[in-house]
Parts: sequence; C-alpha cells; structure tokens
Amino acid sequence: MALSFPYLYISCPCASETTLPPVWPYSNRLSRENAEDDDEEDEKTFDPRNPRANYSLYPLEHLLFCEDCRQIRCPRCALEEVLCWYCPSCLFESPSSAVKTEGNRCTRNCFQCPICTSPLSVNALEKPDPRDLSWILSCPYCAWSSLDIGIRFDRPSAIAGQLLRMRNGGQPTLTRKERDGERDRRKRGDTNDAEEEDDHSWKQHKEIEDVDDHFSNIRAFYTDQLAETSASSPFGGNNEFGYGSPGALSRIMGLYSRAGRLSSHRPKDKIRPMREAFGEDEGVKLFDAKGEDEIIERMKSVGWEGTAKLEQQSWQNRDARFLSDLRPVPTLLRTKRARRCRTCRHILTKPESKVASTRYRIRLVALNYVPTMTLKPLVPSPAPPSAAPAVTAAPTPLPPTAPSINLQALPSLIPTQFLLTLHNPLFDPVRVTLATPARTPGRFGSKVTILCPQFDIGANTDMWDEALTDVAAGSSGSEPGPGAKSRGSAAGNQSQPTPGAAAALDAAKRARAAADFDGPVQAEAGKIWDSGRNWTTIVLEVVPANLDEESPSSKPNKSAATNNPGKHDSNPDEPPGETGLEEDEDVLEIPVFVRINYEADISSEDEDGPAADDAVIVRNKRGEKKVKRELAYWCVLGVGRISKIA
Amino acid sequence: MSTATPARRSAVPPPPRPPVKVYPGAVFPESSIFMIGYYPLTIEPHAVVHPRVRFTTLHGPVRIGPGAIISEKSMIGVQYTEQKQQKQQQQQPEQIPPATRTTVPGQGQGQAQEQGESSEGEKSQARKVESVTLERGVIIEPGAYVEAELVREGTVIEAGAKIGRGCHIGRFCKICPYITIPPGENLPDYTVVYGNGEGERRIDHAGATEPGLDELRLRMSSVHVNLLKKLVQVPPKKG
Repeated sequence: MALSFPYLYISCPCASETTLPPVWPYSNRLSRENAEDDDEEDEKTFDPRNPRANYSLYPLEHLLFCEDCRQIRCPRCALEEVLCWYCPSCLFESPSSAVKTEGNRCTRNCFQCPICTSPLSVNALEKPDPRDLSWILSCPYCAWSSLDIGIRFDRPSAIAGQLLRMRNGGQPTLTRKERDGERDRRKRGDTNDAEEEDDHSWKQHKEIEDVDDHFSNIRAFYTDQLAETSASSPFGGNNEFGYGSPGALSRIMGLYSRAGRLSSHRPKDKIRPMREAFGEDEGVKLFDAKGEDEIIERMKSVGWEGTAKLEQQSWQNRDARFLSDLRPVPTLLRTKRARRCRTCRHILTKPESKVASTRYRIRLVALNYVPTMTLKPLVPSPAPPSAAPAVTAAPTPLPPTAPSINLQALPSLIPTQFLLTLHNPLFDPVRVTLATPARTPGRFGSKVTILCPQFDIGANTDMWDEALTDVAAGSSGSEPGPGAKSRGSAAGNQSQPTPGAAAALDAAKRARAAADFDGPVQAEAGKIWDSGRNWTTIVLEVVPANLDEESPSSKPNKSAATNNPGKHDSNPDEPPGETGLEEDEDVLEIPVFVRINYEADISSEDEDGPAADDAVIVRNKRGEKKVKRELAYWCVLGVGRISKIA
Repeated sequence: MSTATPARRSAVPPPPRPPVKVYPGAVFPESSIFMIGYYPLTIEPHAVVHPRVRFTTLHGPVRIGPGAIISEKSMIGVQYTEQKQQKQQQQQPEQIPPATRTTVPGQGQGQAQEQGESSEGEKSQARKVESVTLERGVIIEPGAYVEAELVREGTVIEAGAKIGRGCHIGRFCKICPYITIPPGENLPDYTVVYGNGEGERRIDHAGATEPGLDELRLRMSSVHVNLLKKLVQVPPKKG
C-alpha cells in the first residue's frame, strides 16, 4: 500500500486497558500530577511497529470522545445500538417488532431485480381493453420483468402480499388455512374413502409442492405432538412437564447433575416420548432420484442461458437453479445506529430518528476535543510560515539554493527539520507537553528531537478576534504578528504567565527579525517556532537512520524488548537485514506522547458529586472556580520513507 | 461538395460533406451537426437528430429510419480504426466511386447500397462499402458510438455504448450504458446486453412472447418523438 506522508494516527487507550491495565500511562494515576512516581511506566514507549498497535491506531477523524470518561473512544470501545430500521428504497421506517416477526426486508413494494439487483419498478401493462389492466414488476436496467416468471399483479399496491400468494407461473399458493384444511382432509381421507375427489386434487397439488408446504406440514406435526404429549402428562392442563414448557428445559439441564431427584419423585414413563415425523404429510421429504433426473433434463432443455448464476442463486432465499425459479428480492432494510461509550454507557453519537434526515443530535467527535497535529518539512526559506500549514507535503516553490525535501526518500543520517503544528479545538487555552523516545523503536532507530517539548496553545475563541486584531498587523509579516499578540492575551487568561508564553513571544520576534534579514531562519531549542490564535508550531528535528547497518540504537531498546515479548523483534542473534528490509521498515514513524493540561469552566457535574479522578477544582486569580483537566495519549507521526545511502 | 482527387487530399483536405436527404417531418438541425464523408446521408420521416451529432459517411451511406432518435454527442457511421487505417488509405481512391458524387445524392443510392449488402451474392462489395442503417424507432442515447451495419427497429442503444463495425443488432434489443459490442457480432432479437465491458447477455423472452408489447414500445418512442419535435429547434437556413 502506498502511504501518503505525512500522516498522524492516534492510539486509542482501550487496547492497553484490556491487556495491561495498571502499567500504561493512561491510567488515572498520572493525572494526579505524581508523574514522578511512575517513572518506570513512563519509560514504556508506544511502539508503532508492534503488531498489536495496528488495532489501536486510528486517524483522528475516526475517533469519538466521551465527555464523562474524558477519554478518546475508538470504534472498538464504543457500542453500537440500532435506533430504527428503514427501507432505503421507500424510506419507510419499520418498527422493530415488525422486523422481528416479518424479517429484515421491506414488506411494501420495494424489490430488487433477481438478475442485476437494480430496484424494480411497478409498471402498468396496458391492454386494448382498459378493464384488462394488470401490473408487473420490471427492471429499468436489464429489462427483466415479472412476466419472465409468469407473474402479474391485480393491484399496483401491496405487491409483497400479492407476490406471497403467487408461485412462479402465476398459480396461487395455498394460504396457511388452506394448507391446514387440506392436510386435515388428507388425514380423514386415509380413513374415509368417500372423498376420492378431494384426494385427487390434493395429489395434483402435491406435484407443485414447495418448501412452504413442507415447512407448514412439519410445523403442524410438531404442534400436534406437543399438544398430545403435554396432554398425556399427569398434570394435564398446566403444561408444567410437557415439551416446550419452561420446566422441560430445566429438567433437561438438570438431567445429569440431579439425576436421582427427578427419578425418585416420579416414574419416567409418565412422559410419553415424542414420535418422529413420518411421511410427507408430516413434512418428511425423502430423496427422490427422479427429481434429480428431472433437473438434469431441465438443464438440457434450457441450457446455460436458462440457469441462474451462483450469485443470483445466493440472493434468493430458497433453492433457485434456473432463471425461471428466480423471485424478485425484497429490499433489505437499513439501520440508523447510535454509539455508546463502553465504560460509562453515555451516548457518543446519535443520529436524528427521522429517516430522511442525515443530521446528528449528539455527536462527540474527537476532533472537537483533541488537538489536530500537522507536520510539514521545514524548508530554510525567508518566507514566514503560513498560518495554515499544509497537511500534505506538497513541494513548495523554493529558492534554488534550498534543497526540496522528498518525503518518499528522506536522506539517511542528515538532520532534517519539520514543523509540527498543533491546533487547539477547545475553548480554553491549553498547555501541551510532548514526549518522544530519543530513538524511534525498531531495528533502525532514527534520532528524534522535539526542540520545544512544552508550550501553550491559545483558546479556540471567536474567529473574528484574530481577523480584527490582524488588521493592525496588515499584510506585512515582518513584525511580531497577530499570532504572538493573541498568544499573549491567551496567556493572560491563565492563572500565571508561563515561561512558555514569554518564550513564544520571543521566538516569534526572533523568527520575524530573522526573516527581515532574508537569511535562513534557524530553529532554536526551547523556543516555539510560531503561533496564532489557536495554534502553535514547533520544530522537530529528525536524523533518519542508516538503513544499511543495523544501528546501535536498537540496543537501548533491548531492555524494552525483553519486557515486551510481543514487540517487533530487535534480536541481535538474527542475521542483520542484509538481504533487504521487511515491509515498510524504512518508514519513519515517530511515537509521540501528548499530554494536554487545561483549566475548564466548572460544570454542574463537578460541583454536585464526587468529581472525576482527574478533575481538580482550583481557583484562578479572579477567584473563578475552574476544573483542572488533563488528557494524555500516544500518537504516531508518519514522517516519510528513509532512502538508502547511495 | 468539392471534387476531391487523391492529389488534392494529400494537401490540407477540406472535410468532404455528404449529400444529405432529409424527408419532411424529420428534425435535422443541419447547421449544428457535424458531417463528413462522400456517401449519402438519409434522414427518413419523423426521425429526430439532436444538435452536435457526428455522422461519418466516408465508408458507406448512413440511413436513419423513420421515428428514430439520435441524441447529442453520439457518432454514427464507420470511423477509421487503427488497424484498418492504412488499408483504407490505399483503398480510398478506388473506393470513392465517381457515381456517388456525380449523381444526385438521395435515397435511391442508399437503398441500392443496402440491397446490395443484404443480398448474399455481393458480400465482397459489402466489405468495401460499410454502410450504417438504423431502422424505425431506434433510439441512440448521448455519447453512443454506432458503427453497426444494421440496427433493427425499436432497439435502444444507451449512453456511451459502442457498437463495432459490421454488427447486426436485432429488433427491440437493449444495449445498456457503456457496453462495448465487438465488431461483427450478430445479436438476435430481444437481446439485452448489460453489465460491464462487453457485458452479459440475456434474451428478454417475456418481452418477445407478450402480445402487444412491441406496439407499446413503438408507441412510446413515437410519443417521445412528438415531444422532441417541439423541443429541438431547427434554425432556419441562411439565405
């Protein structure tokens, strides 16, 4: 699969919760700001090459967020529940009780073509005589029509009901009542020879007997048997010990464990065993070699053209070997579903119950809670970084001196800088702490340095704020821009001005000053690169590994590898990969641990009951009560593919 | 109509314009239709040709039957193909019979050609002159590409379908969108070709056996034609 770089996957903590609950840094202990205690746990880095990681990594767009657990929820840790069933063709909602009794298919006029699956339409078949009007189902695509199977309808409505009473060819099927009547008559016919004529008609009917008849016969037989055996039980009417009674099940279940009890209390032979079905009237169909011959004969006559394809047969709900056996397929119903959090059962998404509406009533998507991260190669050019960083790393027009960076072939052992931009979707300013292993896990460890691992991002305030303050700054990007200003104001909202905020201002100034001199801008350690209303850009320096030799970087990982046997193996005993790389081993993936701290407005829940574990209520300078919140998760930045040294 | 000699053609050739015979009652907005070729083009009564249709009569006459509908951007007539191009360039000088150009263009010519093709004795001539004939009530939908020798009555060729040269399409067939029929195929009456590429084929037995269905179809297309006659504007001829 061709990967498009750069990409970001977020690891949902649910995978680790199930396997190693206390060890993972998502546990609430970390949130109580005693991170020093669990040094050991912190050292356990997330390994994107672990086969298990495949099950926990998701793009941000696929994730939900539970507001009560304050945790990311992936499709695995959210429950789905069906809100309503509806037909995609007529958009009628069918109640779930109807779905249970009548099955998950449309019971109105919606059918699919048995040949090509297009929706069928009901057309009038006009005749010179207007009284002779009839309707057919016809396919607008492949021109199949119910005339092909000899069916036409009297009315254009309630087609499903009409179809149910008709065989292919147009003969009516027997209703359940008629079937029962026929069966009774047949039974009496055994004893009473006077009903010769009826018997004859029954035999005629037999010739076109189908699955429905068999089913109704066998059902009638077992109903009779149940009634008989129940009646023969010593307690008669109350049905306590008959087949099909709830008592029967418990008796069977206890047959071995409490064998003595029952037998000691009552004799076994009180319950007469149920008789097996016997004969066609009771739904037993014996194998008939003649039938097979008939099928072969029929195949000979209709040929290849007349037989149904396997696919077409699979759409039918009963045996249909020939085109003339096919029936229109009722349209499958669809569902609207809500999702719930698996742990707290709160609803995460809920669509509107109206079938035609595509809107959501509740939709807690992670995009609104988790900062978006975008990565872009830092090209040493005098142009200030744009406010909207490119998601895709399209090669920008460069001055001739600056080499362009091809993400599909990152040069080995050459330090490369990237701009990592975080967008804050929250309405409170947040403090972000990023952590990454110095060397990426795997056989070939690349050196990764985050130049500014701790920084602040402004609140996602009104967009116009930025636009209005931007007017003063104008189009010239050389002076300390709007980003720095709004950063400052955002810092003012916080309880105390942080050194990070000051650094932010400083860095922005320097960057711009440097830009004034048209020299290449240098990234500085501990300083942010740029920031705006609700975004901050920092610099990430990567030294891609040398793919030709298994780097010594795998050694520091060895301890981790021994801890975790499932880890992608960095076993020195194995021959080094001279023959070549394993699949996607040259992809540079950086695991990053993101921790977000912020103070949110206090909600009613926090005041009422015992607050959630991570909710620490504090007062800020103005005396407003705030809740300290924290969110922490691992994510994986896919940077690019490392090229071999030529 | 210019006298196109081989010498002249090797220079920048002006596109040869076919002699056109339009019967009364047909809709044929001539100024907005692209035509090229030497052989006659015949539009029979009550046929509707949309603007922006391309006709090619370079290799044989084209006849559009009564009540046929030709939708825009479709191409009717045998075009050059990669394989035959060289051959045809060699044949071209002989193939343009002077009679075609000198005689008054018209119906007679086209019919004569057709009869020549349909009779079995003159197969060799049929190979040289590749005519295209659409019978009564044929509907060609937008973007279709028809090189078939004969399309019989009531057949619908849907959008983007391609019918190769020399095909014989039977009565009341249906070629679904974007189906390709390879050259030289013979489709029996009531064939439906559906699916992808060359498609799956089935015979619409019910349509064939049900009495009165054919008249119903033809009537439907005639209603369609009557509507199109009002909608498709034929600009008045200049001068």
